[in-house]
Amino acid sequence: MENVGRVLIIEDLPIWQKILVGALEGKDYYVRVVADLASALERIRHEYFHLAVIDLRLIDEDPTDYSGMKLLKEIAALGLNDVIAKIIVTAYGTEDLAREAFKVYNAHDFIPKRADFNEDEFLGIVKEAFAERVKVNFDLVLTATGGITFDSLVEWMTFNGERIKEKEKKAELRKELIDLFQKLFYEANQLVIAPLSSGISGTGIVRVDPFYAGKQGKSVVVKFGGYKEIREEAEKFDTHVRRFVRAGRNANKEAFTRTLHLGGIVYSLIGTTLDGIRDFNAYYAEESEESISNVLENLFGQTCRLWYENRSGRVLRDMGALYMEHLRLSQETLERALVDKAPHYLGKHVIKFPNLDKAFPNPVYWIKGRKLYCPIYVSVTHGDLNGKNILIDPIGQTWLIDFYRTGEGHILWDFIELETVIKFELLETEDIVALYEFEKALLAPMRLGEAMQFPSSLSTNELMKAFTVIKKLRELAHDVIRPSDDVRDYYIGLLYMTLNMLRFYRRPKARRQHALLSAAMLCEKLEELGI
Amino acid sequence: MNTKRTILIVDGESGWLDFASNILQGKGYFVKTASSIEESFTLLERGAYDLAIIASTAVSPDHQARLKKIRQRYPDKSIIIVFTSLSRYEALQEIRRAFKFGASQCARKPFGRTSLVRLVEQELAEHQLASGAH
Repeated sequence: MENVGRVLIIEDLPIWQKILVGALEGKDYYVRVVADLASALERIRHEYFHLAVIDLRLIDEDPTDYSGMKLLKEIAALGLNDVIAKIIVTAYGTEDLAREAFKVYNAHDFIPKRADFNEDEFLGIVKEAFAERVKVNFDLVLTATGGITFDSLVEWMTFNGERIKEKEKKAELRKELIDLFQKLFYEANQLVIAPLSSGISGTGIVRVDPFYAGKQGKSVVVKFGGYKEIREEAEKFDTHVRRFVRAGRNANKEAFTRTLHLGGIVYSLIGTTLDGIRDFNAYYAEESEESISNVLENLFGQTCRLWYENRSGRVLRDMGALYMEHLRLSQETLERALVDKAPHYLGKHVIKFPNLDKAFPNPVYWIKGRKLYCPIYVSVTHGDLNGKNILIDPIGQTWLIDFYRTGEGHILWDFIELETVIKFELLETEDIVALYEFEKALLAPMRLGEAMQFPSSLSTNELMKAFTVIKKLRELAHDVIRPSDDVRDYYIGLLYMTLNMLRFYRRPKARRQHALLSAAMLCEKLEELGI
Repeated sequence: MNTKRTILIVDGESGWLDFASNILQGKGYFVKTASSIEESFTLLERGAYDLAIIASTAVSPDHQARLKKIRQRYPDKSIIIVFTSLSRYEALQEIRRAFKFGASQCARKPFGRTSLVRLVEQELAEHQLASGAH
């Protein structure tokens, strides 16, 4: 048993400290004792406890002191009311204080300190609080397989964009992560935790196979990470996704819980056992254009169908502002990307690329101060449709996971994002001349849904595959905005999504150069369309 | 607004039953009374009440487990436990017992007309707020 119940005792009198600690001694609890409000708060903010045993009066000689009630209030203010169970022990309890502790702060018990205080009874109440409120299954056996370990999962996690470096913090986080699974699967006996598919590794999304009394339960997907982010995802699911969940090909949120720093969501994928599941990136690499096109039909025509069917009427929007905001992109970020990675383009409004005679507008400056108003449909969109968030079973059925950025947005957002994934993540060609021809063909249509021809001058299978898949993607995008065939919002969205690639410094230089070329060509196209 | 709210009063003291039901009926509530909790479990388990006022003397340890399940099933319905006790210690024990099986409020008898009405209105308002009802 790696984890145990963690109890913080807040008690100023040494004699009572001894009694309370004594009751829990040798009973598989990690117990810490503090004597005053400030120390209690310091501990609670930084260290994970399941239960606080709180003395109401922490300055015994002061008859007006009710620091214990202040602590209850602070725990609630920190948003930890559901994380830390509370037992009050006091020699100074009143009816009103007891009511307040129970009703307002959800205390588990309010125990009078008397000469006949019974340690066994107290231990019984602590056990009851763990069983009824804390609900951590310390006996749960967890097995991580498929190349992941709890250490590697902790290594991956980021908080405010930063990975945890300190060894001690990592060790604490590892305990919390185990605790999180022990809470999420309170009734299971054993869990087997594995990467979701061969294409997914080291992320905060894993496959979990739970066993109940020796019998295997339904395989589920667990998303975990920093509490705030996970809570936001859970809320977005409830607000935007749940109402569209139907039988088949939907992810459904089954449970959500948290520890001090971490949050976790259990998703069931309706209609799949998860066996043979691959993500889009792996599927794209291994399957034919035809299979991928079928998958896209399933994804946009089935999995997400209700989102698009419930679109708004067309509304006029400043597309630049809309995309910049959602991508958390700014003019400064883009100019900084030029400074860091393409200084020769800095300050230049017209740019050239190696082996291409033509001059292009510099897209970073082309968008500066430009208002790009366009009528668009608004619907629920996934908002982060990268290849890892699309799961595909062996017969091409699709599911989406990871709803952290889901919400109302430009109806074509997900189509556009997937096009950029194909072009700047999955496509490996570095030949800028070939990429120019490829982009030129993709930008030929003046209307969405217009036929596109793969250039005869290009002969690589890789480009042909990407072209065919993007062509299918555009057809499906057209389907959701019919009867309109306005292509302007698609191209504007694509411009910003493409520019966003410039700030991913870890991407190979050739991909970023392709993105800059593609964005420059989009600027030209938008000018051609009168924008 | 409160005309059709159903209040269930369970108490072995007939004088208190009459007193409380008269006051609450006068305020426009639909009031049902019972002298023992067994008589009212059908109503409670069907959730056919908005608020129940139950005397702690009517609740045995066996009843507590049943009431706890009822509260879990109908978290938007209120159960107030009322008790009569003499010492502070006894009162605290009554409050502990009540809240531990999930009572939403606990109050000491006797109380006058104004206190009773205020208690009922506060509880109904809180649960209305929590359930998002209008």
